[in-house]
Amino acid sequence: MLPEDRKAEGIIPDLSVRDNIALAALPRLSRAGLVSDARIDELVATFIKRLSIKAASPHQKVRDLSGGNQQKVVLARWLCTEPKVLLLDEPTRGIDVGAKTEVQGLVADLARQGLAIVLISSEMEELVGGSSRIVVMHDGATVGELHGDQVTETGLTSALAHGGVGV
Amino acid sequence: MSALTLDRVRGGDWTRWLRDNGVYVAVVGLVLFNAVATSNFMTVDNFRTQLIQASPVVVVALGMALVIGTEGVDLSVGAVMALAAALVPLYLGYGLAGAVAVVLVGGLLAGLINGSLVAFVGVQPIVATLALFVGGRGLALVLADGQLKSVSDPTLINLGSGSLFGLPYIVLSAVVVSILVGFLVRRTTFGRQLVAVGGNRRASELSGLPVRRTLLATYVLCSLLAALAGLLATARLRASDPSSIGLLYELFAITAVVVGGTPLSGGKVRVLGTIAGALLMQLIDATLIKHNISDSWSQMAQAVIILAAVYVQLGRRGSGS
Amino acid sequence: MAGSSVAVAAGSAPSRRREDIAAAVQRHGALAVLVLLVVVFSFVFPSFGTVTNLTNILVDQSFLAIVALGMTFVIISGGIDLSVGSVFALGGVVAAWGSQHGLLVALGAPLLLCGAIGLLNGLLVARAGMAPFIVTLASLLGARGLLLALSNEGETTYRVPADGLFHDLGADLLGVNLSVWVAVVLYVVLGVVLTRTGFGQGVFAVGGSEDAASLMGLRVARIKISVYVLSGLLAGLAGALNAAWVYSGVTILGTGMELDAIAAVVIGGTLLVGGAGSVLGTAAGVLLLGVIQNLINQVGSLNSSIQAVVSGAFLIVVVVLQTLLSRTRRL
Repeated sequence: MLPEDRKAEGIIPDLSVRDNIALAALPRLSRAGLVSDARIDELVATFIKRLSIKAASPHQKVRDLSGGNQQKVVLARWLCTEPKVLLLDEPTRGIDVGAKTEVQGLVADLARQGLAIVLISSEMEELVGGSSRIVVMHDGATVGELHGDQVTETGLTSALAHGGVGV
Repeated sequence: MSALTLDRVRGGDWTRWLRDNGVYVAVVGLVLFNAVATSNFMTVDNFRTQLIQASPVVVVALGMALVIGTEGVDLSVGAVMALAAALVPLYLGYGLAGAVAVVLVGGLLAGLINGSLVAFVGVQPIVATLALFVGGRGLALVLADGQLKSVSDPTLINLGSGSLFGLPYIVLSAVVVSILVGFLVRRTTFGRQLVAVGGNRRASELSGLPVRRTLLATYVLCSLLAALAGLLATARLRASDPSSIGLLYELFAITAVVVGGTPLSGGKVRVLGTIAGALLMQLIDATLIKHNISDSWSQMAQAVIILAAVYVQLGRRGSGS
Repeated sequence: MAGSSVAVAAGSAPSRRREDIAAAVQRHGALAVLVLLVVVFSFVFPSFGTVTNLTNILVDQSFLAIVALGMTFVIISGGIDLSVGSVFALGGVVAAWGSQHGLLVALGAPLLLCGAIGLLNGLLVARAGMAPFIVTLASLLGARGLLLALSNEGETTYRVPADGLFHDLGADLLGVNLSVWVAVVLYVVLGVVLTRTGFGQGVFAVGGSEDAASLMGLRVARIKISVYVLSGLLAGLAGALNAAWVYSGVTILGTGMELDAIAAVVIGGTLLVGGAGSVLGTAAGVLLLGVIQNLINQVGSLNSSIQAVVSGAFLIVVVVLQTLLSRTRRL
């Protein structure tokens, strides 16, 4: 799961890009509790390339990266665990435009490859552009649902209005 | 690279080098000073003595480093040493192996108490370990009936004074512990997770790390190492003295760790730095003794040096962050 | 109909009531236990409930009480002072030495010196940003060294001249040693300071959240320094009064006193994490520790180590309770 507050809940600032990415999948990458550096390096290199993470080297401290790249690191961390479902909470908030489009493209790619993705977002275009089904919630209750053709900006706006959510 | 990193590189470069490597410089400097100013310093005998005396500090400091790496602290290490010392004469009747086993169980229990309070109840580490800090030495004195007991078991005495190929068993123990801890931190999953928990606990939790288990294990390890150090000190002293063994060791251990470059804010464990820090503490003590500085001035000097060393490590404002 | 509306109303009350109970237990738990123990054991041990015995407890604990008062302020501000034991002993030795030169020196010198140590602690914590437990642990070591230096490596014990004014400080007033009255006055005065002055509110604020406090415009550093100076002064005063009481400056006293002080403060309901606490609670905690020690003596063994174990166990229980209770409050 990708948390909303990247700095507080996402990255381990003093660790390197490599260690951050490998964190969740460590048990998988180790044998009898011993870490296999080779396997980690390989996996990390794959994801750095796949997500186009811009860092001087995998050993750079993750706190020195830009917000967008930090977000990609956290994303990579979870992808390393080969999940079946990915939960993203405001993944593109506070990232520069370029990285934003990249992340959105990545998410779309992953969805196409068969990964189930639950995306929490407050941005209309992001939701409409990337989703096959939208559930609108307010105060913990579902107030609307849009499928397939209904997933348009107008559809979303009216669902919000009907659900009593201030737009 | 952002402008922020450039600034950091320019302004903090040599201070950071000093912080990371200052301890090695200090150790070398002090050795050199003694080579010149202290008679009989550069002898094999003296080096052996220094290493023997430094060994318990190294062992305790390594345990403390692990705990500090998780952004915690363990104030009870001195008390645990005293407990270990108190337990030894009680169980030597079962042979050295029996005594060692009991000592380790004692350390395990202490660590479980500390660790459970921190990991499962959510108490702050200072507070959690304060309880054993307060009551541990008292418990040790109760167990020992308030007495200093001399130890005459031959195996134990051999542990304290004997050597293997010229290397004293005590020093050997410290070396083995150092290697094991270094290995643990660098090459095991547990070590990586420990450092991650210290770096950002929330993020570690959210990343699926077994945070509570990791914390518990860390405190258990620290207490185990403290108990071991107590055993070593008792062996060397050939006596169990719970009222004075381990006194103020928490201060020395924390200083050794901080001076060695491991930040109190956690997230990084520098094993070599910690060892160097412990050696430095021992050297300072030895230097003061060899120059016949009275207890009073010695203690005051140590206090000042500790404060200065920690201050330097912390940089100008709080912990390095 | 009436039934259902009552049900709805009751639904929202329990959580708030639980909060209130939690807060009440925290604040007055020690006092309650104290009263309970005194009442119960006055029947179990006839020699316990006598005026003589109870007054002895008061006098014995009066010095710890003064030290713990200073500790209360420090802990509420979010810090901790591990040096008070050594400072207490230092105060005693300096006072005994000073008593040879008159009352002014006998009281002034320890206050000056111990206040200075407190100032040093405060400066290192507040301005250099160093961790309180390291700073005060180091000053524990340094103060002890100073103590040795001033007393010839522990060889000399200064005696208080019998014909001086300082000697009279160790006398009784209305049947109880002067120190008890001093403690009472200090508790009342500082209790008012803590709860009713801006400074007191500032101490709570700093302990609760330094960032919020500084955003509120409070001089955080100044407040922090003040509490450490106060702690040093009170420890020194307690040491001086103790020296007057025993008529000499004993050099081995005070070891471990900081732990008793912390235990008393925490048991009295002050949160070790800072931001909450009371002077009354500390008083209850100090007396409770004294009662327990006295009870242990009644049972038979005159063992300060057992006292330490009991304190430690108590501490664990109280701390766990505090943490659990503060969690219900947050919810």
